[in-house]
Amino acid sequence: MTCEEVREYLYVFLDNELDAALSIEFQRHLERCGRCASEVEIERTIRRSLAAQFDDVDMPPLPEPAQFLQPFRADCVPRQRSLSFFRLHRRALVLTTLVAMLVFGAVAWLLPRTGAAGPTDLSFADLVVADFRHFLSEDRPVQFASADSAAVGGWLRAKTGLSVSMPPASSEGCRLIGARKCNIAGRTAAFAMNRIGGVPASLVATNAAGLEMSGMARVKLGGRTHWVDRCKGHTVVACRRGDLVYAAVSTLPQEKLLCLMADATYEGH
Amino acid sequence: MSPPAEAFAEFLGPHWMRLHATARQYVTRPEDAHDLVQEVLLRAWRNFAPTDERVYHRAWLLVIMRNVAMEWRRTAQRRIHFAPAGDAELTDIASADPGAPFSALPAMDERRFREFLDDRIAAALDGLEAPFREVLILSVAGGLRYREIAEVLDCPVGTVMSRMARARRELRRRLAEYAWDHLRDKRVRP
Repeated sequence: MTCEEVREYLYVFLDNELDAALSIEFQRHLERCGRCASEVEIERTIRRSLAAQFDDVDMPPLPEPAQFLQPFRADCVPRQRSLSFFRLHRRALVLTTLVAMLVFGAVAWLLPRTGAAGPTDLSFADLVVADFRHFLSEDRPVQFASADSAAVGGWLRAKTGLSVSMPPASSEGCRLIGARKCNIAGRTAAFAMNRIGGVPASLVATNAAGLEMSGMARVKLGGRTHWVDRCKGHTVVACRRGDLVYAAVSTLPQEKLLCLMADATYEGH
Repeated sequence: MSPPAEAFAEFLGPHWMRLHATARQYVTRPEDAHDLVQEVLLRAWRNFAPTDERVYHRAWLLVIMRNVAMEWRRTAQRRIHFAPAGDAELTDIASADPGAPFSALPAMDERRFREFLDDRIAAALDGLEAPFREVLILSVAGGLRYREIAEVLDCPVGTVMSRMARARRELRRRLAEYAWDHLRDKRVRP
């Protein structure tokens, strides 16, 4: 990276918005260029001073919940969305899903008789890859958008009832995007989307009980057994932690996903 | 207290400080900032529906805050600190030369530099053009990411990035000017 590029990316870097790979290049440049390092330090000092301006606010304390709504009029109640467009849309979606499930069930019932592979023949790797591709192809939005792994973990625990914990998103150039609740082969699953060096990588967690991972290769890393597989151009790395199985899926090579899975500071288990 | 009110209070907790800090940048007087926060809370509460599976973020509150501040400004009920420009106006001023050298600051020891900054940074911030000042407010006071700022301002992320770069460069330029004046006034050699 050149000094000119450092000037170009400086503010994006300081705002923690720079792509992980470029951040590493940026830092490497600072290690060998005293002039740029000094400029960055000046900007950091300005930022600290600016932040102090905003922090120095005469702020009333957050009211106790019991008094919270007292200043508001009694008729100010949350809007009821009983028949909003969203709800109507959702009802249509539920109806369509039910019909699809019926059709799917009928097809699943018929397929073994015609010799074709039924959905139960799909391996765990197939399922998580299908879910990953489904997420990307339909550009499904995350239900909870945050780069804070603790916040995402908390949200997923509340949503799925699974004792999920997310690895620190900042490690290995990995950036957490957000999460959504999903379903893997009829099981409730937690789905978190990350970007590793700009490439999407999902991390799915679901209940381990009765989950079959035979067919995947075993790899020992950091004293833990991991299962790895390749499926439709994607890498799958799975690992059991406590009652859950975590699976990372991406087009990235296996080592990158192993780093994501095997983070030493991974909390919770 | 009803469950939605409890959920609403819980949702607000982590955003309380940022909400007030941002309000103080939109309106000039502390009492106006307090009123602005109250109005934001009232509108947010009316639209808060935790049962519909929406996930609420700070950006949502700041969108409301910005809208209220705009309304107040339009109706001239309040003296609002900033005046957002129209998109056409922004097209010209949003283009910054990202590779341009930084404005040079005179050499000062760290303690003097910090004292100087504390004295002059508010003035430098106030001197920024409205669209640039606003991205800084939303980033530093509001604690928003670029993507969230784009959501609040209803503009592309690229626009946020270019405004942010321009804002910080302009801030730096103003501080450099103040710093040289400051040293000249005090007859202190850099």
